[in-house]
Amino acid sequence: MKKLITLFLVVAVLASFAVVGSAKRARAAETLKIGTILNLTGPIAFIGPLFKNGIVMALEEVNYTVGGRKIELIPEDAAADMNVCLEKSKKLVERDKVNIILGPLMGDAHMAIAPYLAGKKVVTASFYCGDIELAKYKNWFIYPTTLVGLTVPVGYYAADLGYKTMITAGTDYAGGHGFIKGIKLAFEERGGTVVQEVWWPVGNQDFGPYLSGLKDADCIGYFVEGPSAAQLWISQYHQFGVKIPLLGTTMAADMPDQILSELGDICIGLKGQALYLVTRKDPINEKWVKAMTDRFGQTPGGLESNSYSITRTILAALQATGGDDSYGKLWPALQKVKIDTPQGPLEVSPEGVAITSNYIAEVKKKGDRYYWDPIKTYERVVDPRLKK
Amino acid sequence: MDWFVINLLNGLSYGMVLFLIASGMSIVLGAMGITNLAHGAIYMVGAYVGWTVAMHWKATFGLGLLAGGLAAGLVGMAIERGLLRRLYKQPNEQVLLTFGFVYIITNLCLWIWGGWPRMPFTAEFLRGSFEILGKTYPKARVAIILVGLILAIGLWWLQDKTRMGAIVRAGMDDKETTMVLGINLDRAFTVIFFISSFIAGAAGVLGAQLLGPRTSLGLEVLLLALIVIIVGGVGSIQGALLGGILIGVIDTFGRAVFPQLAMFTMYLTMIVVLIVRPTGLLGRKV
Amino acid sequence: MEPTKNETEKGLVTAIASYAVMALILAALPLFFSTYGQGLMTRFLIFALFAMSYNIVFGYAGLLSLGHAAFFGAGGYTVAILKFHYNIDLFWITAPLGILVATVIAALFGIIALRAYGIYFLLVTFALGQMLYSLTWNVKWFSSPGMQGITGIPLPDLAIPGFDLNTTRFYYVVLIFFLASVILLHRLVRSPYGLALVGIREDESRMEAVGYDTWLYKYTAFVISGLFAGVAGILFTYYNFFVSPNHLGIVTSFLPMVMAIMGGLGTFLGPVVGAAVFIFVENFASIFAPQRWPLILGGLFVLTILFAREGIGVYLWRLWKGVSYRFGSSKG
Repeated sequence: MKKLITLFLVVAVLASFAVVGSAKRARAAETLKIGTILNLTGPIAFIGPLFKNGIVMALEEVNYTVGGRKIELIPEDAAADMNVCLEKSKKLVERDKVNIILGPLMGDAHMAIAPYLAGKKVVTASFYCGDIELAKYKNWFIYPTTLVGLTVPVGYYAADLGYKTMITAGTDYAGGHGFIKGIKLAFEERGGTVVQEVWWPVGNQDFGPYLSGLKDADCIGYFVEGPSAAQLWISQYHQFGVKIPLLGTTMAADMPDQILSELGDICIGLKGQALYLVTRKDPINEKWVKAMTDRFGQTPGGLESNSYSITRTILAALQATGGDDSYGKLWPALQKVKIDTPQGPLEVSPEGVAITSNYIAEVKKKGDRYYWDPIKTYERVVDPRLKK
Repeated sequence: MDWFVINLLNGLSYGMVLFLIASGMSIVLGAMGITNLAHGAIYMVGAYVGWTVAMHWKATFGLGLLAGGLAAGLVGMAIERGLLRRLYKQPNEQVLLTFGFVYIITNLCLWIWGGWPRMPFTAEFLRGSFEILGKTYPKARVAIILVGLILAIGLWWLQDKTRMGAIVRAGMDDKETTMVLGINLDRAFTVIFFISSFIAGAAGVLGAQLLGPRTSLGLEVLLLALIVIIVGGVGSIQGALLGGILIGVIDTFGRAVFPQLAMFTMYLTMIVVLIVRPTGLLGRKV
Repeated sequence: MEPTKNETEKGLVTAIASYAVMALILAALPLFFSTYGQGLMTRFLIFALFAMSYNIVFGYAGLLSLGHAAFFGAGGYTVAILKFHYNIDLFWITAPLGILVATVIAALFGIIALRAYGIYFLLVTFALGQMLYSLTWNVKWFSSPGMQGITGIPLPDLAIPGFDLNTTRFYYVVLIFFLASVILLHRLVRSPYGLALVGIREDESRMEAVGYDTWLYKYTAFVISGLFAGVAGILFTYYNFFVSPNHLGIVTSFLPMVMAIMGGLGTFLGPVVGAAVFIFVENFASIFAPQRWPLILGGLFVLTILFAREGIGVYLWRLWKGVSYRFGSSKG
């Protein structure tokens, strides 16, 4: 009996925090709350703050106000765990009463929270591509395009270079499959043939077995799931003396300048698709890069550009609705947004997928600085499977 | 033929790292009956400290190796003397305590070194590759195999041919009698724990030639160590070596032949060994 | 030393009274909370159930199993697969099937695992859990498009006309399962079977000498434990609307262990307390210290081991005793 009372006390005391917490939140009802789910802990913890910087920049530009309402940004940690993402989504929607969520980054987290958020009619934006499956929920702003859409330029570029055969190599999970599919669809559309598909598990750090088993082909179209994998992939590629030319995807995001300088000379001449390039000659871009560098003390990259553009798009839609963040008003307004971002021009398709430009870039060296240089532009890139 | 040799070398180098990871944990488990789930986190500390010394302060790789081992050894010793010592013969508490330390150490590493995963690094003279049967092969990996073998022999000699080793083996078989014979088992244990952690830290630096330091290592390495111990058996260097090499080779060839199955070959091996010989291939009966 | 008939009757009455009080408290609490708070309570109950199931195999039978999430996830995946591949929503079909699958897997794993003793048991259960994890990760049939795992599982259909489940109502469904499990498990551990388990945990060879088939006791404890873990897993999938390989993984396997130990191993309500502490601390630590909360959690673990070694539940219980003694309570 006494044990029971102890238990009751414990549970009641702890659970009462929940009540107190929600009372506090209910007061600020006029502010427009925007939630964001970022990776602040876990294996890619360094990415979270970068995404946040982009969002903050966009919000500071409008002085945290839109349509006469003050904006409050509520950041949450994704902890690289889809369960946690769902819990945080619930918290943001039910406790903090947000109608807009930016993020998360990971595809499996998207899938985990999608049914819930669709039911609650919350406009959600993916930080870096999303599976085309998300479009059916009709509340996702998929930036910069679907997984497949992003890598389509690589396939076209390989064909443009005259390559006839290709080996695809990528990480074996839903995201990896999406990205590789884009390369394959585009390459085959232009008459090329994929002669071998190599897949390694998520988190793989030893590419030896895969590099030793490559067949002969004109090029390797690859995807690795982040900077650490990219480091290992490129350095081991050289260690094993593979000579087939590489064409990568998500290059600038996977290999920002810090990684390039750690790798050194071996990455000169490396080519691939890059969504955002700091070095791109464009007045809007140059102005933004300067503003970001002044504000945060480091050169921005693709991650900040993504979150910045996403926030700008949401803000533009909110501007059009006069600050109304309800789904019924916001969603249609979102589809009509047409802005210029540091990354390039941006429009939105009826499915909520962004339509942006994409680039092929090459690593060059100037002095002792390594950087990505855009060498080709593909405009208004779309997933071939979307009706357009 | 060259495909086979290359993959064999890959498997051996990976297997050596696995052996080094698992050997410390296996000995501690067998000798002291302590389940140290923080073993992977200690490996990680070694890798990070080694990186700082070798890459950040630009000292030599050898110094980094030593520093990493020492740092890891000290962390391990601190955990043992300060905390684990009180939990002798309480596996529940050990599990919880050491698991708590995984969280703590991982977060501390994140705090100190930041979340940015580090590039694999190696000694100057080990950069570059050999020509083997017409194919290029990284020198660093060959070095790992050689160093691993030397360490294996050294540890085996320690285990079988020295007094310390005899004490450990005696303690494993019959603690009470060993203590009655006047042997200071307490001190022996601390030394063993230090050595185990030192090896883990050194393994961290050696392994960092293949997998650069990152905060996910704590749990990842623990998983691998457990698999190797299951296969090879608890409490002997030979067991850890056999287990490590077997898993390393099977996993490498598994990936080369069936890339989709990746981790599965490891688990399958585990299960087969468990069914055939539950105490592991060369395990002592615990 | 047999309890007298009067004493057993009194024990039963107290027990029923305790269940009733607990049921009332847990039924009334959520009415004061927002849906978010209710969700949190649901999560708490599910994990409390998971931890209680683990307490049977670990706390009472003394078997340190490191793959308990296998049964949790098995229940969850069954329910998800039934919806995703066969479009079966009916709770009265999915739940029993889920429990069945979890139990069968526990029965299978138990046979393999109990071939090992001591530390090897831990390793074997770990291996089996990881195998299942790797299976659901790699085999495409276990995943809906776009991810590893299955998403889009709505709250189930109870086949009660006009009555659809929502967050609040689902809480009560979970509560019913929780209470039923509490009662069943409590009767179990208080029964001769439960006492035998404790005896085996304390000294197996002695129990064998007295004529108990210790293997059978351990095995049944393992399977029962798996069964209830499966129940928790089913409820968890419906709570989350998805299931993923992580639900079978090593981190999930650790959770009930951590909760049971923190709350008080081998006491009946210990795991429940442990679950409460864990869920609520995790929730608030991550709000106030988003980047450092794993540190807080880890620190809590370590402190528990060192200072409240029998678990926070027992520690608080002693505190309460101390308080009531101090204020002159005459009841011991």
